[in-house]
Amino acid sequence: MNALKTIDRNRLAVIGVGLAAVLFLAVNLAVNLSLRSAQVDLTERGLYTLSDGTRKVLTSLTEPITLRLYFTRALGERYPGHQAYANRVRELLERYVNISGGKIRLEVKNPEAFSEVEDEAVTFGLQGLPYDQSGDRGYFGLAGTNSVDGKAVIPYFTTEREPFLEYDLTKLVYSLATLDRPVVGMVARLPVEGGFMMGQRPVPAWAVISQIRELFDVRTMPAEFNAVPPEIGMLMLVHPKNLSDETLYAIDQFVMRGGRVLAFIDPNAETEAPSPQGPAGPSDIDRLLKSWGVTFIKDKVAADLQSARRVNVRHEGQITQVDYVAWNTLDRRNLDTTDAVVADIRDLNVGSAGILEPAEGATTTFRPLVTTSEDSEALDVAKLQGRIDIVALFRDFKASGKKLTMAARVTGPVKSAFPDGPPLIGEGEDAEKARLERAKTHLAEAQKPLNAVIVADTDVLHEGLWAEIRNVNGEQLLVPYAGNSDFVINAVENLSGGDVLLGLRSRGDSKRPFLMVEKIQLEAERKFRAEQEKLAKELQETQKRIEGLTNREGANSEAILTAEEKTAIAEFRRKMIDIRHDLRNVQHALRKDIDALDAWLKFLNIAAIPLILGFAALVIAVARRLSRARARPVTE
Amino acid sequence: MRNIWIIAKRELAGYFATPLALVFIVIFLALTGAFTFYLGRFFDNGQADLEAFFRFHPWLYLILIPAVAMRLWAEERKSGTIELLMTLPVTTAQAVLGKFVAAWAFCGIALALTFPVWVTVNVLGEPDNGVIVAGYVGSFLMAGAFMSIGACMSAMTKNQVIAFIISATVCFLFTMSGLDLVLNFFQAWAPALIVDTVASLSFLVRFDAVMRGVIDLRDVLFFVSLIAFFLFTNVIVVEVKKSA
Repeated sequence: MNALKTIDRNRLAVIGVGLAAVLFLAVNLAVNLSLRSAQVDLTERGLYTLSDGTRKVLTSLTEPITLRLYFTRALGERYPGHQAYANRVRELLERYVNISGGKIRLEVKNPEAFSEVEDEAVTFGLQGLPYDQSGDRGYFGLAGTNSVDGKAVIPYFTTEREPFLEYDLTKLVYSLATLDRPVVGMVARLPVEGGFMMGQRPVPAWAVISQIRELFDVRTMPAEFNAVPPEIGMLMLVHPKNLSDETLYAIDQFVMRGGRVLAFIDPNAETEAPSPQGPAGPSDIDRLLKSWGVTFIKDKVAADLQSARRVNVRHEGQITQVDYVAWNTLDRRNLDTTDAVVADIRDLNVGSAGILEPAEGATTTFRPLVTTSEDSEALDVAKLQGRIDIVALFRDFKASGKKLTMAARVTGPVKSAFPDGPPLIGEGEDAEKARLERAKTHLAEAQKPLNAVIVADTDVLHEGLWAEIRNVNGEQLLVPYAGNSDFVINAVENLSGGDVLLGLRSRGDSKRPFLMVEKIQLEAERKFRAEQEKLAKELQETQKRIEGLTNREGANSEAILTAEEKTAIAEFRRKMIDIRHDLRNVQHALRKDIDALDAWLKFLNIAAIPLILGFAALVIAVARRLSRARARPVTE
Repeated sequence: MRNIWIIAKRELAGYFATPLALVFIVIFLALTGAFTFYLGRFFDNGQADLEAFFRFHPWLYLILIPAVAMRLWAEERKSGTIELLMTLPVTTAQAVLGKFVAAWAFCGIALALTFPVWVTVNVLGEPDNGVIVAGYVGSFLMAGAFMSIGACMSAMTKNQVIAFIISATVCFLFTMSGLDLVLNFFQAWAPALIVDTVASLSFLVRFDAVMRGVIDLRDVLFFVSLIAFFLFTNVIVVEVKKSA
């Protein structure tokens, strides 16, 4: 009877545990299916919370959009990380569907090997990856279509771009939703749109230009033009120079009609190939800038010590790291965060940017958007051309105590840069006649207040300065580490009259450097760089003196040296060894504080607490023993 | 509730009565520190975040928590004190919960003592402290899950070594669940829904999600329900053994 009872209990226990297991699985299954967006986003910048830009894009949809998410199940079984990421993508898309109020339709598909769905995925241009020995391909991409056969695709979701997921999805939806895209006219004197080099491979367009093309209708203007087509609402000028009067006049009149301008001008465009005669020269639209109330200092570059980027340079035969004061990573302290264009930008990388100032007597309002810190200096452009001595720039840096403006928004009433009407093109009576004909439509004053954003740097556009290009599965993947492209796209959108995308941030988690280590490095370098130079010079002089003494009387002069001279040489040699020793010490000292910090941190994090605990335990044990001994009654 | 609290307090005090607890904490701290700085190359990476620190937690727990948990019940059974415990006016459930709370709190103390690394990263740079908080919450929950498995396995045997080996194995399966290794077993007979659910049981995947800085209710519920399941099983095992 007892045994039976035990068996029953055991069986009951097994059933109980089995039921609990089923309950556990069922709860998790139900929760996984039903609780989609119950989460607390603790990240500082709300990386996983939908941005206002996305909400604006989704609520302003007017046309239906179909999104097809392709994910091969077997891929998820093989790689759980992929499964988790696919779940995240699907959930985010489901939230898009909810917010869009039914304008977005989502289909989730499982493209198995050799299935029709796989063919469909391939037709859309999705990329398959072999995931097992048999070579079957797994897909994880998105294809979107709109009602007019427009299509947009993310060929493969790579985890490298996970922080940009929302940005990528929203941009895809936006590109499908906007049938009438704002038209942007592009005037560029740099190869921003790529092209073919003689006898070489085709050069791709700069990444930021490709991104603008995804969202706007970009029209490339010819080298010379006499009018801006009426459908163009915004002109983007990149390193404009050597523009004819005719072209300048066309831009001027475009502005007088109320056209917006986004200009990237540069005293030293690093992406421009120097001409055989020397440096390529600065941008030049002074005539227009003057009428807009802006002065562009063409022979100076804004250098900033606080935001200088650290680069490797070869100095005196050794590779050393030094802060390049003309290359800057500007953060929120340098940006006017009240302006929508830069409000959400976390950092911006510029390369030898120029300086902008409001012109005297300007009728416009000059609002700095991007400035240096007060630890800045206006450097001569010549110092950044040819062979640049980055170490000397750092060593000789003298802070002006003034903030220099690298980019500004200029607004307000303006007058034409051509007060006498259109310029004369060509010669003779016909030309004059044509000029008079054009003068009939000449606008001497702007019909609408000017709204322009002037950026005194063109390198800010090039991906070399703001993104890392990674090769993932044979595809070039752009992973931004600074907000340059957001800045440019914000500016284009803002100036072309839209505001839907403003507030949509690519939100790549920016790098978070060890500021303390950087500070130590900077201080050590400032302290030792001058000393190093002094010692190097002393060493050279000492060597020369020894050579001077020993070579005085020909090759074999040692014999005829006086005793004093021999002592002097010995003294110099000793000094030389000392200087060399000091030099080595200086080199070592540059790294010493950081190594010491590293060692300290290792000690504190690995051994300190265990040692304290051990000591505390010892003290407690001794105290206990003592108190026990004291408490023990004296028997004898 | 009061009984649970009393047992938990007694158990926790018991940990610190011998140098054993101290040795565990010291090993945990030294290993997390060494892994973070040497394997994770925390200082060389130069990034003000604790990714290099949290990344190794599942692996450390995989070994250390079964070691802490193995004596929870096995020792009581071997030394016979379990009979004494059961004569006290507490239910088995209260005893199980009390012991678990004490052991989990012990993990919490060990985790809290890693605070120098948080201080370090804040002194060195400007980390996203929200992400770090999420990392600690996730790590603590995961430790609870490991501990509940360990406690349950410890109740199944008198032998501490066997308890350690079984719980490390089960913990390993949960850590790696979602990989072919585990899924193949289910794929043969279970419907896709079950396979998906099993795949979602992976500690690694769940902890990764929390480590990003997002505390998802589903991840929290997963860890909590897992703890509840193993504690329930623990109660049943103790009851069955008691009556045997």
